[in-house]
Amino acid sequence: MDKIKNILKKLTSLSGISSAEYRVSKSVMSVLAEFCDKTNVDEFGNIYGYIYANNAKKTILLEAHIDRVGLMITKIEDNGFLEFSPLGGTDTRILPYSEVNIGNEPYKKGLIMPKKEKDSGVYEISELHIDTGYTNDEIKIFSKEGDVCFLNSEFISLKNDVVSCGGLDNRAGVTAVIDALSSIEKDKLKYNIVILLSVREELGFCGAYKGAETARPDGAIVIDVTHGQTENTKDISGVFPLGSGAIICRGPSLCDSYCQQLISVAKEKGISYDIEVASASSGTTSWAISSLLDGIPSALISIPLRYMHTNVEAVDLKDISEVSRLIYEAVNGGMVL
Amino acid sequence: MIKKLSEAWGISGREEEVLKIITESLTNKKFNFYKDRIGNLFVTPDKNLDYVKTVFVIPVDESGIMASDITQGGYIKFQTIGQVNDSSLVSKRVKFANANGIICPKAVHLLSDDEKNKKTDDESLLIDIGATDKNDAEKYITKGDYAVFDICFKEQGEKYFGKALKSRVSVVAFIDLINKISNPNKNSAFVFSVQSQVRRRGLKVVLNQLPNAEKIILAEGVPCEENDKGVVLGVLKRDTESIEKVRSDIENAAVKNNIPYTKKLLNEEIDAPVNIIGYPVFCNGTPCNIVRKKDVEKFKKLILCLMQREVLFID
Repeated sequence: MDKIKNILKKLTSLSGISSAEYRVSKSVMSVLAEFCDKTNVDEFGNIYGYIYANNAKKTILLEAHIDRVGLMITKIEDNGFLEFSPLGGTDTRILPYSEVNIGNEPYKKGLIMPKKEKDSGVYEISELHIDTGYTNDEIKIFSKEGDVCFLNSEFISLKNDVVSCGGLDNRAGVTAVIDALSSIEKDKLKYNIVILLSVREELGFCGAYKGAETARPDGAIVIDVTHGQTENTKDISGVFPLGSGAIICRGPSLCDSYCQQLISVAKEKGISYDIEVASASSGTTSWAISSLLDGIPSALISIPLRYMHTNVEAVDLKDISEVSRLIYEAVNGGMVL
Repeated sequence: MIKKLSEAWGISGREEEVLKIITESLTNKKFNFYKDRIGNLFVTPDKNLDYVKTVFVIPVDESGIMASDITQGGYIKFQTIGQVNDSSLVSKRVKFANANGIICPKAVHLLSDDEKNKKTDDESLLIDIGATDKNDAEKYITKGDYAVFDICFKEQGEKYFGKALKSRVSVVAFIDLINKISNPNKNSAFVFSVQSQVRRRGLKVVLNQLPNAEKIILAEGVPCEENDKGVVLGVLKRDTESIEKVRSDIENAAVKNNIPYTKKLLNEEIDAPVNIIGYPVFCNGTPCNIVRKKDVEKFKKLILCLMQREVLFID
């Protein structure tokens, strides 16, 4: 579990806000380069890793989005305070009095505060701004309109292998892919593997469209997160307790043969799993990828995650491990394309 | 020093860690140091408190969280201690002695329209420590356990950012000034007081022990808005003539020494004849306070002037 924790801690320390993933490309590629035959980045910022099997004719795509939700600076006020808008879905109720990281590492700190305090009701984004402690002239040295920032989120350990941090959506998925493939035995591979860490998922799957077309795979497995159960979501369907293992999705947009094979592999190898149902869009990049070219058969494996799109997302490392094991078994012949 | 004190534990009723740092930092041998039975730290030139006519009271504590119950699912219900703004709680990290925790938000995707427009409050919020169920949580948390907000101090630009700056910035200023006093006057004393966040209980106990105190100066940050600058003199609704007279003296000292100040009407009732001198604090009652460095310099300068007027000799 330490290996997964270390990978996850490293990945979540990186920014990579939707539309500014280029800031993390180099760091992420260096991780992929440790076990891939080739890596590259396209003009969108999508990151690719290639693992070539001996004499394989087919290619499987493993896709996980690398971006995370954040904020975009929209105006620098005369007093140096910053106005902002959200990048990706954000609950505005978590914003007041939250810390933000601005610029490049080492990040400048800011604190979101109301322009004017009010006793009741929820603050609109326009009623909030960021105080950095800098004057207007000082802050313009390292920040300008259109720059991105994100809620500060220290990586902390809770009990029972649960960890909390921002950006676990979807660095948890990326971690599962890296953990699975870093121990792969290339001689035994039945398929070539293309890893796609796509950009701008939070802004409408933009990167995945371009990335999957570039990869032109015979089949795809998308790895993402799904909602983890909490005390106040027990009565909602489609949420999974932490510790459920790999969540395999079934629905019309997904290849049911792949789903059935993944379920069989999980049963055979003793991998914990549960089934998620998406009768329409899964809300993930599998929706985009499966409709590309002449149709790319796709499966979706998810990791339960509490408090999605906040700075305190929480995930069970054991679930990442189970998803990693399922990926490993699938690409080692457990799944027929 | 501000960083060390800001990040230390000092929630009302559990100020031991902060008081330990303060005690270790006070090096002036001309003073006696002792704690009363609730933890107030007295710094006096003479052990006989009957001599004390002027006292500077410096609160040391901070607001925070107290576990009030544990759900069957292993989540922690809590109450807030001291002044805490409900809007500031959701999605913040807290630290219990034996567990990290997060104040649970709900994924935005799962919010009903009604929930999206409803302000959160401490009664509906829970803390997640990663426990599997109630039995598991009870291994780490007992009802009544305290937690502080998990915030790292930072000095950036013109400001300090950190937890508990309302009290700790003043504490640091006084440690520095007290250590420089060469010839203290037995009519004056300093008290680092506990439990200011729970209706000023610490102050009440301090004053019980100082029967002859005439000038009581409470030194701490004052909640302000962005336009308030310099030193802040707190005005209470029930100020007496004697309080106003002392405040007038303080204002004269500020004017004479060219120290800008603001008078601020405070929405608080203090059952004691105190004058409040402070510096503007922004985001008071939230996990992370903001304080301007320049304001602190001016606050410290005015305190120094007042100490000299009270015949406290400073090198």
